[in-house]
Amino acid sequence: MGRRSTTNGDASPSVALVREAIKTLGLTQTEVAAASGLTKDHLSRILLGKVSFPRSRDTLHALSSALKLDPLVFTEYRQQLQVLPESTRRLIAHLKAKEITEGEWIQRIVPAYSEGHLQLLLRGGTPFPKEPADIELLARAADADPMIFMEYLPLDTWRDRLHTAAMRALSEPEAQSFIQALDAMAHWLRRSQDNVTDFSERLLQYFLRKTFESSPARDPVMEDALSYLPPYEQYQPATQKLLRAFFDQQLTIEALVSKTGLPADDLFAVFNGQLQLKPGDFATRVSEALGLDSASLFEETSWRKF
Amino acid sequence: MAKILMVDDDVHFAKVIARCLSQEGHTVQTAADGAQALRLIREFSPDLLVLDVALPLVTGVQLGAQTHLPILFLSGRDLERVEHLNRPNVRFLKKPADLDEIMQETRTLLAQNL
Repeated sequence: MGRRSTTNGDASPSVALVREAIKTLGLTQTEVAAASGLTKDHLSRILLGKVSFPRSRDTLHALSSALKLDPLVFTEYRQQLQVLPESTRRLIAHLKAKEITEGEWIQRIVPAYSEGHLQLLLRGGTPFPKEPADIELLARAADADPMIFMEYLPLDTWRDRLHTAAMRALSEPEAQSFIQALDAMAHWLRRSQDNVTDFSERLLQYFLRKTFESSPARDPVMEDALSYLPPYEQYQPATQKLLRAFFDQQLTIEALVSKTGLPADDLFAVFNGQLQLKPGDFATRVSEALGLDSASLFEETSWRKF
Repeated sequence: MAKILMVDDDVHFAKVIARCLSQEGHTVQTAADGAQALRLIREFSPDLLVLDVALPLVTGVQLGAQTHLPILFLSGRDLERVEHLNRPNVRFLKKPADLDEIMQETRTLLAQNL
């Protein structure tokens, strides 16, 4: 609730805006109070400058809605935005730029998220989501690029994948240099409001050009690998040995199915880092199809540059 | 035998697990995202959920918080995020997962909860 103001001269500039809107819309103070959740007495004291203008985002939302105003016209609302998480502020700014009301945005997402949770998110009452799929959903509803949000992980995933590929394909100093450039680019993109929809594609092209300029024939293999592999650390050393042979021979899963007689789903599940590879029939058949010694598949070796 | 809902956005992995559970005599349905899983929880009334943590639309964590069904969580790197759901009928396995362990954990959960 508002604190007592010393004089009418201290009244917030928002008071004049409310007075003007009430007059323009031909509303009574009773109607505005009822629609905004304030008591008539409290609204009256606000308009007289006897108590300070509300600061709660809920109240400011309700008041602006009752008066058909953008809540951003209120100084107090703009001040509240300053303490919101960066991504929530970006979201609100983006909605405004796209002329999408917060209510419309919420309705585009419900029921994947509850209305209450989304309102809480907009008020900064809950942290901004971290799951890429959730951020994509929120961004899509705002006609926004998910890359504008700091929490959007695919940027990290891409960094991890390119880091791994660089360590594999380049000499140590070249790889370090590339990774530094990659980090600088990611940092810049994270701070940028620019449209970065094609970020992944541009980064991949840059990387492929730099890495394979002397052997462009391998591009499709690397592009394919980078398009679906999870972070490198997720793989067992034995699975990495199989993958190395798989990519070196430029095979496809279909070809491996044909050579081993194993189901494609099983091969994908192992190569996608979902299922553990254990000594046995599966590992033997795959390693033999790839020309590897199945007996040494599970021996510990250095696997950083596979 | 039990009804099991397998939820993972890696369709190949989901199919492998569903096939193995079916071979043990269970009735298995699969879902590729959290929203689809929520619908199937209502329509299929499973006895057990096998859940990836990082699911599209509604995450495994959000799903887990909305149900009291027994759950086997599987995740590549997010297990710490579901630790607050640690209750007697919830278990966790890290990916890449051992197929035998998945089968053993589902047997244990079903034996405790059916």
